[in-house]
Amino acid sequence: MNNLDLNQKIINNIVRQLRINPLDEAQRKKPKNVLLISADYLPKDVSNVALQCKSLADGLAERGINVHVISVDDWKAGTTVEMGAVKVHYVGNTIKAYSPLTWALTVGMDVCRVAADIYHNEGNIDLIHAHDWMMFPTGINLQFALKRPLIVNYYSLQHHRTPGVSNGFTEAVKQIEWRGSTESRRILVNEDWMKRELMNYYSPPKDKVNVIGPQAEDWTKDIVRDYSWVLKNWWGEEENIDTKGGNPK
Amino acid sequence: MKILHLAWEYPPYKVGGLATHVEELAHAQAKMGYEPIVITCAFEGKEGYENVDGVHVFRFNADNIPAEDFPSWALQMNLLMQNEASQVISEFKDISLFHTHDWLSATSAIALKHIYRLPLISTVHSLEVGRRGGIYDDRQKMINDIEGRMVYESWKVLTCSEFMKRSVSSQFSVPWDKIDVVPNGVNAAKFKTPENLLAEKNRFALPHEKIVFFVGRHVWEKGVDVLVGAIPYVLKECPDAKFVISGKGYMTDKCKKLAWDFGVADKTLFTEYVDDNTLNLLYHLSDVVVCPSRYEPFGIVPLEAMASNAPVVISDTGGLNEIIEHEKDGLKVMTNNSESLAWGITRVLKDPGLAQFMKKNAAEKVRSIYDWEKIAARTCNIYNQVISDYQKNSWKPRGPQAKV
Repeated sequence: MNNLDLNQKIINNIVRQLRINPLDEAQRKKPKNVLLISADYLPKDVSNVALQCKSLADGLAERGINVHVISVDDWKAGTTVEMGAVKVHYVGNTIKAYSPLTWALTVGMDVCRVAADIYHNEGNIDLIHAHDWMMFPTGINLQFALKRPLIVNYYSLQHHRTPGVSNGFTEAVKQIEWRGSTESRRILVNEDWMKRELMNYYSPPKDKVNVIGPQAEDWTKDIVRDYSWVLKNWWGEEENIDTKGGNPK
Repeated sequence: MKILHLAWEYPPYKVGGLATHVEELAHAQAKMGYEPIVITCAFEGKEGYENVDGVHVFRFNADNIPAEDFPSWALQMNLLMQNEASQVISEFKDISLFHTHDWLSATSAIALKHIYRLPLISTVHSLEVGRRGGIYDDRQKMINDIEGRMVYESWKVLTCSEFMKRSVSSQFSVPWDKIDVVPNGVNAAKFKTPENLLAEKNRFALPHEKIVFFVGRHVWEKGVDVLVGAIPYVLKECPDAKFVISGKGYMTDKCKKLAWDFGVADKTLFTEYVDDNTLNLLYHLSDVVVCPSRYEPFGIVPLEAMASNAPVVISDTGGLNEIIEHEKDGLKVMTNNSESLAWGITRVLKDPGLAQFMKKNAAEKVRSIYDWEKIAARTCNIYNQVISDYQKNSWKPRGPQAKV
C-alpha cells in the first residue's frame, strides 16, 4: 500500500467513525449531556461571558438536559460544585503562564483532563459548547478526540479588543478565533452586528452562524433547537452545510 | 505493541540531538517487532505520512503559526500535534502508550493521556534550569512548570544519564524509583570512513594542519566561547592546529569577534550548519573533537566522535563525565576553563600514542554499551513493565471511549 492509499484509508476511517453512532436513534437527535467550557463562570467573575454561561446552564438544566460546566478558579480547583441541577467542575492552571495566550494554551490540559473524567466516569457527552477564544483550542481538541460536535460562542473579536494592533499575541488570538470558526459545527453570537463582523473578518458560511442572545425571551429553547440541528448534522442526517471556509484577515 | 512518540523535531528537520534520538530509537523498536508511530512537525509544506522501515511518521504543518515568542509557538504547535494524534489514534486503534520527548510536546501528551487513559512515558533530554543556568524570567518559569507537570503526569520518566536523574529528582521532587536511566546511543554504521578523505581535507585545512573540531549549537551551555578562548593557548604549543567550528546560534557572531580580537581568525573556520555527510567527513578528518559544554545532559557529539575513531576532549560536566573515562577513552578537562581545555587539546595533539590508545578503547565502548538496539531493548523493557502495571490498574477508558 502506498502512502496515498494509506492516507485515503485513514480519511475514510475517520469519516466512518464520525458517522457511526453507538447511540440509539432517539438519543442522536436530542442533546442529553452537554459540556460547557468557559474560563469565566459565576460567581467568580461577573463578566458578560460568566453571566451568559450561568444563565445558559440553568436554562438547559430546566429543560431536562444534563449540564456539566468546566470553569477555571484556582481556589476551587479540583472541586465539583452542584449549583442546582448544574455540575460545575473547577480547574486551576498549575503552569505559571506569562500572557493570556499562554494561559489559555496551558489551562487546556486540565480542561481536557476533567472533560475526559466526565466522559469516562459519568457517561456520555453529546456536544461541547466553548465560550470565547480562550476555550476554543480545548474545544477543538475535544471535538477531535471525543468525536463529539463543537459549538462556539463569540462575545467579541480580537479585532475589536485591539483595533489596528498587529503583533505576535494579537495575530495568534486571531488565528485561534479563525480556527474556532472553521473547526466548529455551529457558531453562536449575541447580536446581528457581531454576526456581520465575524463574517467580515473570518468568512464562515452565513448559515453556520446563528444569533441567539440572552436578551431574547425563551432563548435557551432556541439553543436546544440549534443543538439538535448540530447533532443531526453530526450524525450525517442532514448534510446541507459546508462548515469549512474562510481565511483569517 | 504500538507506541505513539510525540516529538517536535524529527529528521530531516533537526535542531538538537532529540530528532536523532527519536529516529534511532523508533527504528530500533521497529526492528524488534514493535510498531512505533511518530507525530512530528513539518516545515516548508512537507506534511504528510511516510513509512520508513516500519516506523510510521505523521508530519503536520507547523509553518506560519503566529506567536508571541518560541514558547507560545510551541504551545500552539501542541494543539495541532494533539489534533493530529487524535486522528492517528482513530486509525491505529490499539495504541499501548504515549512517549513524549521533552517539554515541547508535553502539553499535548498530557491531554492525550487523560482523554485516552493510556500510560505516558516521558524522556527528559534536558531541563530549562540547566539550559539557562537557572530560572530567571517568566518564560523560563513557564517552561520549568511544564517540565515539572510532564514528569508528574508520567508513569515513568527516562533520562539519558545519572546526572539528569539527579537533576530531575531534585528539581521536581520526583521519587527516585520513578526515573530510569537509559543512555543515548549511536549508530556506528552511519560513521564509516568516507572516500577521498585527504583530498577533502583541503576544504577545511591545509595538508599539514591538525584539525580541532567542534560541532553543536552556539549557545551558552555548549561552551563554544570557551573553545575560542583556548585557541591562542593551543596555537602557542601547536602552531599547526586548525579550529573548525560547525553549528550556529546566538553566540556565533560573538565567537567570530572573539577569534578576530585574539588574532586567531586565520586559524578558525566557522562552517555554520553542515549536512550529515560533511559532519562524518569532519569527524574522520579531526585530530581531536572537543566538547567544552558548561551543561550537557548527555552529549551525543563525543559518542559520534568515538564511533568515527576520533579522540575526544570533554569538559567534566553533567552526563559527559559518565561517558568518558579519563585517559582511557578520552580526556576530561575543567568546565568553563579555556586554559584547561587548551591543555587537553595540546596533550592529544602532541601525544599520538595516547590518542591512538584512547581511540581504540572508545570504539570498543561504543560497540559494547551505546548500540541503539541495546538501548531500545532497555527502553522496551520499561514499556513492558509499565504496561503490566497499567493492566493491573483501575484507571482505564470507560464509557463510549472504550467502544471507539
